[in-house]
Amino acid sequence: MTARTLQILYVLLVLALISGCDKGLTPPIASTRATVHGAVRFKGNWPLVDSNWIIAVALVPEHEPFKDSDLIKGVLAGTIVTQTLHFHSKDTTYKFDLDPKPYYYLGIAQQFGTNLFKDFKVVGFAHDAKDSALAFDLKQGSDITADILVNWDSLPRQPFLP
Amino acid sequence: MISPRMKLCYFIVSLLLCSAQAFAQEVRGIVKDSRTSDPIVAATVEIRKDGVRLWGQQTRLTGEFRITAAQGDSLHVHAVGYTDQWVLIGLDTILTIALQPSTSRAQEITVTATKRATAVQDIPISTSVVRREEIQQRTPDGVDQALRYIPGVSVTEDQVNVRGSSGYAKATGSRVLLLLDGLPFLAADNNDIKFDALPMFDIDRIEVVKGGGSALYGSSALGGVVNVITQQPSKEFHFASDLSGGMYDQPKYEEWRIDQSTRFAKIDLGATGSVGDVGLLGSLTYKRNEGYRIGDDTYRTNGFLKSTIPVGDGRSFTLTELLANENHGGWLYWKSLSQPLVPKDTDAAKNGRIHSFKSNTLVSFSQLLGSESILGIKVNDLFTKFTTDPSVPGGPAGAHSNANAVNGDITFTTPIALQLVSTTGLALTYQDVHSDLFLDHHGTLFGAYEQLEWQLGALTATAGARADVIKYDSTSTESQLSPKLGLNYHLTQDIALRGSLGSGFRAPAIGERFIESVLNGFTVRPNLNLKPERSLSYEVGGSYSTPMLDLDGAVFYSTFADLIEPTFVTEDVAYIQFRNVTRARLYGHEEVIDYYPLSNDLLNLRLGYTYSVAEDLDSKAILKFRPRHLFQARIAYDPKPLSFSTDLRYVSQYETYDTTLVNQVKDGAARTDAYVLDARIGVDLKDLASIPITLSFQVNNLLNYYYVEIVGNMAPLRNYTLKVETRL
Repeated sequence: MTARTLQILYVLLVLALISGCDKGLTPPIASTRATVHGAVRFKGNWPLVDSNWIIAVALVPEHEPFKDSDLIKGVLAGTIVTQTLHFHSKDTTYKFDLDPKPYYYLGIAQQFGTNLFKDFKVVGFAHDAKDSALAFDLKQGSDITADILVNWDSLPRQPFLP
Repeated sequence: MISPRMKLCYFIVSLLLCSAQAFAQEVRGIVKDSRTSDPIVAATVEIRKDGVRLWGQQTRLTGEFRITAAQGDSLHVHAVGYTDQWVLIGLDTILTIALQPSTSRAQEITVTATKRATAVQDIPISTSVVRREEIQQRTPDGVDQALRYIPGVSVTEDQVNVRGSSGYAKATGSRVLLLLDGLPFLAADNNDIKFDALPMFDIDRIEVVKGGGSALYGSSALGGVVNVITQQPSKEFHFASDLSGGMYDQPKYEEWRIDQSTRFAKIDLGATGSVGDVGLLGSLTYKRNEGYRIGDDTYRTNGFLKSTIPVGDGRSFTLTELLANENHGGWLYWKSLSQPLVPKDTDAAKNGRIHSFKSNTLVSFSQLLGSESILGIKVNDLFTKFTTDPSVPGGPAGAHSNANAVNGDITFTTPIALQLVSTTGLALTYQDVHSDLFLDHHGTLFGAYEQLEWQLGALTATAGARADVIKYDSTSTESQLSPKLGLNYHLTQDIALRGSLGSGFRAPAIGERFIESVLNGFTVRPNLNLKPERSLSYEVGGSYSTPMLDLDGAVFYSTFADLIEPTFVTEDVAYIQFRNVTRARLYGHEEVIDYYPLSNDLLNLRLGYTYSVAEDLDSKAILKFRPRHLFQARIAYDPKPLSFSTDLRYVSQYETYDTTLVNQVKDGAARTDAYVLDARIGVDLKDLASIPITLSFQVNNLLNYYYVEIVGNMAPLRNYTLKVETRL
């Protein structure tokens, strides 16, 4: 291979690399949706394996207290948005991309038995300094951060009707 | 009985022998650089007969030598970086020998890998050298910018990453040791690199050793060693000035534009020369940069002075003083990807200005002992100070810190047997910190090292180790042992193979152990139980070097233990603490091609590619802030009086980020691969019209490509620089 050939190949390689690049980052398209995201932190000892069926973050458009059976109905109907977490996971994150509207309760629910409509409890929820559940009045383009702590040794009060 | 004829023969032979003895004489001389006429120190001058070395010595600091030689003897003169010369001894007993600088890049001198002058092709570990001419041509803002163009090296904020070894962890110390003229240049409080203080205008070259280097250099040489080496004063007086100015371009997208002037300018003035035997070198720099983001402007003044003083036969002192003063805005992160040039907190960025001052005093002493041994003693005192203005005028003062790091090193290099050279040394570091963030603390690190290099024909074997003892305040004393092994084999004159094992460690900085502060609403607590980070690096590589083509390739593997990360802890109260959390491994390969198809290195084409994968051994996740691919390409064409050059850098986007950090910044997860193309054109008026001025015009980030190097920070936009260089 001659020197001239090598030089041409070299320049072509560089040009090919340049042409392969796009313009890089771009401004985000104005969203018609809203985002709620944050960190989930775990503290204390996880429950035994046989009582860990499902654990998930849930965003509820209802004020507490609400019926426990309504939680599952809402999930099935799509009015309550959820994101499943992994058991025995380390601290993790969640993110919801949703239609803008008000939500009144953000919590983490654990199903501990076979009855999907009854065998679950809230193990953590987003609250203010006075222990009141945080509410989110989401508009177009809203981007809300809310962190949740799950303390297995000290579970929070339940938001359900007796 | 001996015949009279035989007796006559014996008599004549004896007479001749006696004459030969009588003609053995002291030959004196001086060895110089043929190009600059500067004396060459420690050049070897030896008498050889039939390829066997009979006796020899090294030139002194004045380049002078004295050797006993007879007429007809062959004097072999050689030095690293120069072409050998043979001189036939005649009647003349005073010689001036001018050695020609070697055109072989394989003979390029490095001093960092083995702590003595060695040709780059003879080193058992990958080492890159970038010279002053190449650095100056790119007009980098600082050494951190210059390092980005070295194969295998990336820089994130002020943290250097060699082959993915370091990554980025906010507020942790540097995992690559930065040296200035052979001594550590890390601040005592955070063990971070103060790039703004380094004397760009006086750099001779930058050497980068890729791999653990604690066997010679101790703490912080976890992923590699970068040695910034300043120039030596010249014999004759020369004056130089660089005036440069320019501006940043506006972003393409209307919504990103800011209503702010984005100009920058810099003035460098320098002089060098000798008064008698005393050499002097000095420079002053003033830089003003309005920034391309709100609250990111910088005003900087630097001064540098170096003096070399010979004090008798084979002895010399070097004194260096460096001062740096900077005032810059308090920019941290962007507001969002919709407004990437506006700070998250505009008032804090504009008002919370950071004022910093640094000084470095370095004293070194060097003495030739006997004919081939060298004793070197160096001490430096690096003082760093910063204060932060209140974010709200009239509000509480921001963070401040005063830190002092004193480093000392004694090195003794001597041949101890045929083809066996020993380098022995002692090192001491003392750190003293007074700060509101880290409170008042001090630390001491003491090290002792030994290195043996054995040359057997084409094979060079290196073995060494360093023992370090570390103590901070009243915490328990820690110790580290860092071994190294290396092999270098010259298959032919052009081909060299190498293999090495190196170890590194990084003692936690005072800032990481003792910080007490509030960060983003969370308390940061000290951790007195922090252990040093550790690494073990393996490398196998080879190089091929001819006048037209240089090829270098390496395969590397490293393991890391006890890597320190700021960790969110949830116990009684949630807080942040620096902890030893990660075991990791790193593997990959690197190839560099340098092609010089025209004579006199008129044209240089360079390609460099590094592939590296860094994995957490526990979670199997890819480590944060490590690019998998690094690629550099360069074309430099120098048909005087014009010069052209282009540089292309490609850095693949980080596969994983620190999610805690990402969640603190809106659109913090935004990232992309980086393609950065720089181009430059220059004209040397000296060749054109005998005017000692060079004009150049440079465009950095020619494609105006938008990318981030760190969460929530848009990298510099396209910018234009016009520079006028004067050399008298």
